[in-house]
Amino acid sequence: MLELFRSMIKEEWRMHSSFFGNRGFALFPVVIAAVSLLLSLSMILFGRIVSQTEVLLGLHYLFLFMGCMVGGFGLLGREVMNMRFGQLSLLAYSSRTLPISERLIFSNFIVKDVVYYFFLYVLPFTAGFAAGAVFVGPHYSFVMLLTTLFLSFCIGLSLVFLLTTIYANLGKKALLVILLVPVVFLLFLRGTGSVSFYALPPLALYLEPSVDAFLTCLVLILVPSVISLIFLKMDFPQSQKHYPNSFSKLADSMGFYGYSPLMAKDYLDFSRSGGGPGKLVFSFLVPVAVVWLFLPQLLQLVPGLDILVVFAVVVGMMASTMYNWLTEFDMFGSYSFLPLTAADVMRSKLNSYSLLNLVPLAVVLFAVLQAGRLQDLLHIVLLFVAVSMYVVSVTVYLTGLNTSFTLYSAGNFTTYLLAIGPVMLGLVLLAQLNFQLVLASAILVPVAGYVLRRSFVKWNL
Amino acid sequence: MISVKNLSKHFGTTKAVDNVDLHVQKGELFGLLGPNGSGKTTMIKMLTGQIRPGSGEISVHGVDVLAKPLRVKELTGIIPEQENPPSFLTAEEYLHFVAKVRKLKDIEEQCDWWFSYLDFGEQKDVLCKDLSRGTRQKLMLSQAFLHGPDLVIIDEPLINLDPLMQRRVKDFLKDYVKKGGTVFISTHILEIAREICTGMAIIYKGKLVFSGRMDDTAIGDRPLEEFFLELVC
Ligand SMILES: Nc1ncnc2c1ncn2[C@@H]1O[C@H](COP(=O)(O)OP(=O)(O)O)[C@@H](O)[C@H]1O
Ligand SMILES: [Mg+2]
Repeated sequence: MLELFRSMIKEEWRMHSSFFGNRGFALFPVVIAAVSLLLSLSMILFGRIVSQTEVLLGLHYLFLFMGCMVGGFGLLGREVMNMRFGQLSLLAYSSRTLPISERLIFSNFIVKDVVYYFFLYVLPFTAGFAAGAVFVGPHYSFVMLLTTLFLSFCIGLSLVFLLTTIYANLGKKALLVILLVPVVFLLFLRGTGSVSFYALPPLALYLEPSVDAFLTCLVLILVPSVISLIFLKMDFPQSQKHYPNSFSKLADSMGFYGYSPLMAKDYLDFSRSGGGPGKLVFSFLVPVAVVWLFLPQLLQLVPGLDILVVFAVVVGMMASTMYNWLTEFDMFGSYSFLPLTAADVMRSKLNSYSLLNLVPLAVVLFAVLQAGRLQDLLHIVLLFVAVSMYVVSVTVYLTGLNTSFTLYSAGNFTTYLLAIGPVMLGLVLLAQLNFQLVLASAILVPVAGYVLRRSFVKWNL
Repeated sequence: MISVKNLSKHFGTTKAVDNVDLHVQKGELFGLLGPNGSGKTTMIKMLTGQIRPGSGEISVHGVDVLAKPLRVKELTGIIPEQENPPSFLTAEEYLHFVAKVRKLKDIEEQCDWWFSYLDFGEQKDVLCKDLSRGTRQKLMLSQAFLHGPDLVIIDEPLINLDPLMQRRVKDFLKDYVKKGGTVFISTHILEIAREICTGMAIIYKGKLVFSGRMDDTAIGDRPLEEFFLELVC
């Protein structure tokens, strides 16, 4: 059992380090620490308008949000274990031949992932942040902060794990109901003002340490996880299903698009993988809902920020993660013996990506309507489209078709942050100067086009 | 049909393919033999433009593979070693996918022929990821011939098939060559080569140790195994 766990950890390490060398991967946490150090130091500027408790609030929800983003373990059962690498040779997969239950293997797999997230993100982030705080003023207890941020992350993760497991058991029909639960919950919270935000147990634990608060955190993590593990669908869908040939018609109906056969394949992969619609809900809509809930809270701290602008930027950035979904089932190796170039495959993925973007677009439209700002519709939509295109172009340039894990190299990740961070901040600032300046985001569209053209050259063999 | 000069490919310190010269005539059923890890797959990937060689020249169909890898893939039927058709299409859909990528029309009859010849029609509506290895290999064989290529390059074609299906595939390949096609296969199973190949090359640790016709006097009537051991020891 412990041996299996150790081997999985080793395997994951080797897989990453064989890609970018030990150093590239090992330095990744250093980059995270540097970023959080900078963030912490920026409190010299913002410390006057934001109190320490508000900073803590932000940090804990950030990690809750991250947990939500990565918690979709229940979606694919066993497949989630190898989908990121598209290989069947992983331990998690091959150890099915060992005399251990799949549930145990899967539990190991999840714990392994959590351990990795801890060392890749939580620990370096907290270290950087606490170190920065030493220079700025307010004192943070490092051990305490590390604990509560990690708990926050785990809560987000285990809650979404539970939701996805329910989904896997009840099937697509239940999707709406499952989605409604968190939305209703969030709507309910939205009305109650900021006090209820501080009720987040890990945050409460940091602010007022008590055994009770700690136990509450543990219960919130363990109960959903254990339930999920008990009801986990190992093979989803269960039986060998038979499908009629829907490919040809689909490809023909997409004929007006370039690369219609590849897009039709993307579509079928996406919708049949069990992850498809579920993924859209759990890896996109639920996190968006968390942002939507939390953004007004954050922004009231910084007076004058335009919520819709920030929302459009954030949704645009989150939309770009959907490009991963399209690449994670695929390796170029599956096409390299056909008359296709890597650039062809990338272009087809981008076509599919633009179709998928209809969902975040709808979310943005909904937000505009909800805010009653129909007159700003064009600006906000333009902003969203430009951000989504730009961020995805940077992703494609840096990672090609290996998106979900090539970003874990220190170099790539730094470039990613530098290419995206300042631009996004700049857009928000411009909008604050004068709302009409949002139109300047249009310039990102040709920039994205240029970056993509460069990517096609870069990633061609 | 295939002409290779001074071809090399190194992975770090591993010389996967080391300065190989090779010529295959039209109409041959050519076998590339060698034990596991001797460089066969690397060789085939270079021949078909899937990876770039470290150095050397390759021409297939008279096309310079380095300059026009896509053209070579268009003209050739290729079956890679790892049978990995995209996972969430059914077997039948996968054949249609390949046909669409290759811009072919009306392939239903061909598909049906393959389904019955290799006896996997019952699984044609099952997702590729749920197919057994053998069935995937059958699928990959079928896709390589859809566009009627006059050269097919196959990496370990029979490895997952039962004896009956091996027989059918061997018969099909022999027949295909008789009708004017050219076949290049790699295998580490020597008997297969003896049975169906007209010419062969043996590589060992990346180096070409023999190349010639199957009826070469150097081989004589000996079992190939003996000849092979003599070469590499
Ligand atoms: N992508 C790669 N990276 C590093 N080494 C490789 C790679 N591909 C093949 N090799 C090495 O090259 C040698 C030849 O491998 P391969 O061509 O697969 O042999 P064969 O197909 O004859 O079994 C082996 O030692 C193998 O480990
Ligand atoms: Mg091989």
